[in-house]
Amino acid sequence: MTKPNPPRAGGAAPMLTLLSAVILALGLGFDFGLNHSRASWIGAEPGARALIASAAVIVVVAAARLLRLALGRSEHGGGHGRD
Amino acid sequence: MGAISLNPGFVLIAAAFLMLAAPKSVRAPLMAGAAALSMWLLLDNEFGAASAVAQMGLSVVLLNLDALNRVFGIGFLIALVLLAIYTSGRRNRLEDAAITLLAGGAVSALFVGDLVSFVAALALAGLSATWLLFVAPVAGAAGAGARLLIWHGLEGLLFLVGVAFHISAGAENSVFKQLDIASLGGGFIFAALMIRVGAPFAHVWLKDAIGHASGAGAVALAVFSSTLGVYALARLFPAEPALIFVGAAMTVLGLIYAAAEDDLRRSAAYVLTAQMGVCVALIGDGSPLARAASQAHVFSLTFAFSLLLMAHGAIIERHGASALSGLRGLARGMPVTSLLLLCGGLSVAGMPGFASYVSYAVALAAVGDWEQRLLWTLLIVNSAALIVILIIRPASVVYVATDSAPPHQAAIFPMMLGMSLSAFFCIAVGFNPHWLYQLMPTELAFSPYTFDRLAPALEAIGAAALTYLALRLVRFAPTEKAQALLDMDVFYRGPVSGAGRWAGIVLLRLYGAWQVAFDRVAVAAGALLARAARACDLPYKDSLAGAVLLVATAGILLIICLSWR
Repeated sequence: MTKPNPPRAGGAAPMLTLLSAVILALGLGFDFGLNHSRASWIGAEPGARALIASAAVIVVVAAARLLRLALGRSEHGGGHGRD
Repeated sequence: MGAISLNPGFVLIAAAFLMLAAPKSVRAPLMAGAAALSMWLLLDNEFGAASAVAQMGLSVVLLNLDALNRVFGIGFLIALVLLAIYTSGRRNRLEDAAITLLAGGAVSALFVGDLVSFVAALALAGLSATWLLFVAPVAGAAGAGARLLIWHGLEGLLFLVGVAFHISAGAENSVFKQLDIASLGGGFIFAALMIRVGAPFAHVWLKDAIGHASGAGAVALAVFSSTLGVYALARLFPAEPALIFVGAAMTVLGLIYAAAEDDLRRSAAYVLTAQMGVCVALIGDGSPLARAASQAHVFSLTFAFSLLLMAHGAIIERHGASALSGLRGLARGMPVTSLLLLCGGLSVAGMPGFASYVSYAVALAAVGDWEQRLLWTLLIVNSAALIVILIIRPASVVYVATDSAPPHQAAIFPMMLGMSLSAFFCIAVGFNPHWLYQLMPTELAFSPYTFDRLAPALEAIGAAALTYLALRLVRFAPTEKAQALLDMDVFYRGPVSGAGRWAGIVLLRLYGAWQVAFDRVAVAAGALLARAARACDLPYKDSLAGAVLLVATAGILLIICLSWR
């Protein structure tokens, strides 16, 4: 049994990763560096938005995967097609 | 010199009919010129009702200008100019007229001041949207047009019934004022507007229409259709709590479908549903800041979706389809269009520096209290998911290194120009937010680029992107493959409708078989009865059965006579 190949490296992925990491670092840096006041609730805590965003992406991706499994039909197969 | 009191939309409607007779070289200037003239009429008039007449005891207000419809009108008219530039390179007389008529209906609906005129303008916009699909040179567009006609027919019917009930309470009710969802008339009008904005269960018409329209038609449908519903909700049902839940459901549904869709245009239609959901929820929130944020967001999204869908149209023009699974390495063949596609994604997703960021920042400020934490969380979730759906996912495909990249096929110059100007508006408003804030009904003194607003936005964008890239690396994120997703339209055009058709055929066959069997049984029973009758007609015939029958009949008669008192 062969293991599937890892996704092909190259293209935009490394650049996107680098860019995203820089943006995240900038955002977190400013958020933790400047937010001295006591937060009124957990959403206003420094770094809270990063956590919520990560969780949201995981949930949306999982839901999209489930949706494709349950309701996805091949465009060329017996699905309802484009019409 | 007094200002001309004419509804700006009427100019566009007149231009649409002129366009039917105009040569190709005149049509785009005519569309842009009509939009410019409408803009002049819009900006030249003072706020307030004008052109009001009494008709059958009802007030008909053909022009009612205020800050709310002005901001929508400016957005619509600029978008029409951009569309005129974008479409100037292709030849489709009927589609040009349909786009202008759709814009005319939508702009007319914005500026009328009574419900009857509003329904008429809305119906005109709906019919021209249908016409736009019927004349689109796209496979399956006519079927989508027929389905859209049914949706708009249903919407118009609900609206008419609602208006009739509402006006029956008093003729003064024909002018615009806040409606009550609990009243019969208000409930019907609310239901009609739910179809218009694409609320859950009625959201499929937008995906169906945009997915089957031409490149320019999709832009027109996105800009002039559901946004009109948001305007009407802001006008008729501000601060209605039910809108928060409807908007939240639209956002969640739109995001999940958009993340799963392979076709870029259908995905964009779902994103439009999600973003309209945000606007609807903000209207439901009802605070002046939230309502201003909703209007500002619609204005920003007008340019953002124009750019995004124009880029999709340019891709379809060259590649024939916009399925993401078929666009690997697209950037080598269409570098500028790919860049503008991502620029459109950044605009819609609310990246700092783009118009929708400055409106989204107001929205986040409006719902930043503890009491509104669910709405706040929804906005953060929406923003994070859109980064993935509109930027990271397409960028990972179109910029991938492939051995069989498509040949270099740049979009034609008018399309490039239309997209570039849309991008310009997105960026210009993004860097000059006071241009937008000055147009708001509520005066806004707001700075979206302070560190305490910028830093959380940046960290959310970075975290969302990194999370998705990590999920892609571990192969948890859905891969790009040609797939269509079933939605509510499964009931009238998918396997369920096919199953219904088959069930109908089977039932018809069963009915036929039952009829044949019944006929046979009836014939056999008839023959049996006929034989018995014949036997009764010949009682003295020399046969045992006849004698038995005769004796039995005589016995029965004797018993009857004896028992008779």
